[in-house]
Amino acid sequence: MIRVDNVTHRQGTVTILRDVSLSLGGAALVVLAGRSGSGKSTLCHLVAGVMRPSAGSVLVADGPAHRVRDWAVVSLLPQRLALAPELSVAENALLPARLRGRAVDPLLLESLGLDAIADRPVHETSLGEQQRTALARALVLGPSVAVLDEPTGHQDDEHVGLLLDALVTAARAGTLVLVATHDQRVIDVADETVRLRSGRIAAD
Amino acid sequence: MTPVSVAHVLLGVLAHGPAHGYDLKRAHDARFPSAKPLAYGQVYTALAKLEREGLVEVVETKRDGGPDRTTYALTDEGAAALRDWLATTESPGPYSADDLVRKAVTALRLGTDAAGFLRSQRAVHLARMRDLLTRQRAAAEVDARIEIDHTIFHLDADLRWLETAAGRVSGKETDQS
Amino acid sequence: MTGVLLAAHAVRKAFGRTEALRGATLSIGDGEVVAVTGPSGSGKSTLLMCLAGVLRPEAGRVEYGGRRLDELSERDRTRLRRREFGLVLQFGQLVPELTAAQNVALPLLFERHERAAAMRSALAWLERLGADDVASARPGELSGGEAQRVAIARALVTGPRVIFADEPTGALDTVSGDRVLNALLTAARASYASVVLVTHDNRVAAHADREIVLRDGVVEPVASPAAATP
Repeated sequence: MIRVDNVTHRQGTVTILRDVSLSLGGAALVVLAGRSGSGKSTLCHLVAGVMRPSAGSVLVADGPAHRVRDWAVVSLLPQRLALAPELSVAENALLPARLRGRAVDPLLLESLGLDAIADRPVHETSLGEQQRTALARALVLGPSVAVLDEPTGHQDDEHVGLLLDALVTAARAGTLVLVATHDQRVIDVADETVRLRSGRIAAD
Repeated sequence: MTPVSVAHVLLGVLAHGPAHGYDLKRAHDARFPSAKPLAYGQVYTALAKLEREGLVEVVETKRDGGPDRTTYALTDEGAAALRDWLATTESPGPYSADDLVRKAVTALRLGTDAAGFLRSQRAVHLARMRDLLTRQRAAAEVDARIEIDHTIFHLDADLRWLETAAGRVSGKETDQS
Repeated sequence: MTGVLLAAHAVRKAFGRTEALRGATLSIGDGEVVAVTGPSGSGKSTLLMCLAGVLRPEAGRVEYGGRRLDELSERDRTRLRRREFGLVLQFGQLVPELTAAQNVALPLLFERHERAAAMRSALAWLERLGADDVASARPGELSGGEAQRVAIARALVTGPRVIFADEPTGALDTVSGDRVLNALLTAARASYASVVLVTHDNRVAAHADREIVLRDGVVEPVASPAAATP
């Protein structure tokens, strides 16, 4: 489903990824682990097709990642959340489905603890709630690949369980969930962990 | 009173209490480490003039065979002159930065209505920046626009320095995120 | 410049035990550009969100056109926020799966405008802001300055009367920031919209007609007219 071939990526004069190769198939919860500066966030954005690698190739569902324009194939939860301030929690979370006239799992918002605040303007909620709203949006279409960049950064212990359950459920339902994180709580429930160190995949 | 700023600084130091010429020089140099250290001659010339103008007076003279230990103190007229100086804003612009620094440090160390002084000075600086931005929009030549940028950046630096200085003096330095 | 359009009276807002606003009072005039400044932690962003009807104060009130926001129904408040107010944040407000043009059209689509007309408006606004060349690009492909100009287009597309901007140039370099700020203010002034601009940058504040300084959750008294300068 995801094939990264000899990818080297530079930003300005800094080399962030060095000759990274990776192959991931099928539904699973896969963690890209590493400290900040390891390149995991950049690798996520290359898989999500936000930019093209300086060298090498990134293929998703057999096509170049940067050409994928379908949220049902690849969805993204960026670190900066990217929520529309004019819309409510529910409107933000369900937007991809609404745009396609697709029906939505009625339990999605509830499973992420968002049902009570569904109609609030999204910025009237806590950062943890906003993050879960952005996660709901990434999962709402049951995509082939969901790329999540540090999805637990704002979650307290009380709510992180909801989030972890949602990741595992999505993987069981057929999504390849790719999570960039250094959060041990996520690593503990992952099916596979790929460690990055200084832009390279570290042999464990 | 002629607006000689060294004299104003001395008035500001004397506002904390009577002092010898030597202490006044040391206080000035400690407050303005980037400036040239005052020569004693300068201090005594300034004090003599302030005394002639009735803004300071001699309260005590001790001479135990050692150096002159004349103690100077602020008069009521001197206190009023100091207040007037602090109540007027400095014309915002790179060339008066020294005067701004002297006045701001004096006001902040005295504590009384330093907030009012800062607010007034900020308003004047911002008004000048606004004028410059208007001129910059109208300026056709890149040279003129760059030159105006230089002045605006310096005014911005003055404002950020004022805010920082106030924070350090009050001990409530804010976290710059 | 004529009447008071938006006002806050003794607004208090706390988050848990932290009091962000401790009785803030101010007013914004019709067509005015006002900068809200103050040290970080002074409550500027919270004040902006209260004025924009996104956050609800614990005490005090916010009035728009003479009407109290807390007396509006949820539906009316949402409509107000979508039609009369525009919001520009520092970053991260463009929906990643939509193109720039689709992002700009979003508020119109949610207000039930016809799709083709909404897209035409979106393109017109992108053009006004000098960002029409990125209309089909995704947010991830845009530079910081381009993304902000798209965000501004989206804030303006419904023809709001007040634009709320929270550090709109904070993530940009000086040159891009100046371009974005000028684009925002030119577009706002052309539509006679008022602008409330939160910033910690003096150079940005100098673009406004006047400044409101927030310190420790309250508005500082205005400077008395400066004595004659030497």
